Amino acid sequence: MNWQPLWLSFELALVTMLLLLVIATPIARFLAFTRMRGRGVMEAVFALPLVLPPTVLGYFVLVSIGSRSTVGQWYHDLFGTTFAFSFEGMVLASILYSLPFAVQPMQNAFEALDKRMIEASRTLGLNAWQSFFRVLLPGARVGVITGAVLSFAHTVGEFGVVLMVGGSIPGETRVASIAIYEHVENLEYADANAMALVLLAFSFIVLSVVYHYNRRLSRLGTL
Amino acid sequence: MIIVSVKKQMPDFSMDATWRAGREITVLFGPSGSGKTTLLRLIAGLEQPDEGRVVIAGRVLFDDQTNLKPEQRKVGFVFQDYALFPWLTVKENILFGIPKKNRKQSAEWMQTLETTFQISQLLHKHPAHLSGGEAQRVALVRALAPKPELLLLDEPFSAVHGQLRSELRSFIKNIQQQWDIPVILVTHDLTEAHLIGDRLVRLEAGRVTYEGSVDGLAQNSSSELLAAY
Repeated sequence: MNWQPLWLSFELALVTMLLLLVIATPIARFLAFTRMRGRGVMEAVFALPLVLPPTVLGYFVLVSIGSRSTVGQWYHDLFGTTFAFSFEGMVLASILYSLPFAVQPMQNAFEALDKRMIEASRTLGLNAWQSFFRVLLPGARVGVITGAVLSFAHTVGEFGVVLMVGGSIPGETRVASIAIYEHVENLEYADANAMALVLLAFSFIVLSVVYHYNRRLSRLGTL
Repeated sequence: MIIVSVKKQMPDFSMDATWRAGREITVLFGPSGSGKTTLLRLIAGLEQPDEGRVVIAGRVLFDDQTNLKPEQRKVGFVFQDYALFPWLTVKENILFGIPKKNRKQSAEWMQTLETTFQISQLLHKHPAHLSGGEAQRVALVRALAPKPELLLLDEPFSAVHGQLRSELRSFIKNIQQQWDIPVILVTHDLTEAHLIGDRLVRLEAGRVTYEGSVDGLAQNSSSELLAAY
């Protein structure tokens, strides 16, 4: 079996997850605590990828970063290559596609955290940033970890978006889900079976570890 | 000397309270909804007055030119439900407000706190495994650990009963006397106010209606009014 698509899937998922931790955490914090009007609209925008068909999202991303677009031309001028049909383009699409899977568990955990703990930390001498890292994140770590793991697993399993934005370039954009599809198309069932079983086992192990870890943390009162 | 003179307008409540306190236990006393907790939060900087002054021992925390952040005020706050950090042990909770750069000093300080407050047997427990009285004590020690200039206690007796309540009362009195720290304590229980307070401020609908000695309240209030609490 050719392992390269699997490694590429995991690499894509890891990069997406790490970037989403940085991007989704402040978004979730903002949505959890803001009293601004229009919060519902903002929540709807961030949740859109949950209901949008992946091919539609992939199409919008493709049009936005294609070689005729401003972003695509800017990227080409800067790096001398196309943004669409590249690993970086797939990362962008994956971030957008998995954003609600990261934001929503984090937002729920932030909202459920006792706000007096944050206030207590301020009276104990922490500024707002220190309080974010020493109280909000550890207090909501079950939600943060769940968001990270879900976005990782969701990225490993994505198909329509990466097909639209990345195509199927071996070693560059041909991830496991696309490779399985192509194996089936070519009647290579042994390869399709092996790759599908690896993904199945991986998904099961990841979810088991997350549920086990969440239960242990929940006993300590973190969310 | 502590000077509090604050005004705050909220959608369904207005606060206009002026009073003073010394280095003693001042009890903020009044019925539910009279603004006692709001007043503590205004002193701690967790809420902002529309106008007024908050001064502790000559240090201005709030006026028309100054508005110190909660972390700059050196005011310890014990919340009604303690707000301990459940993912940390008791020891980690207590050390939370002490800067890490002073590790050696904080180890010595921790030793002093352990001895003074007899909490050695609790240090490695998590808050979920503490009784109500133990959690209350830990919350008090945590608030005192960064050496605040004022200690605020929001309804400290609400979750403890009987013998524990009496022990907690002695505990707070001892802290105030040994550390010579001013304490402002909120309660709606007049008996508690009499048993622990040196000075009493009665708050009704956001206004101060009595300020003076605990015993003086009885002479200033009708028996019907006192019975209402």
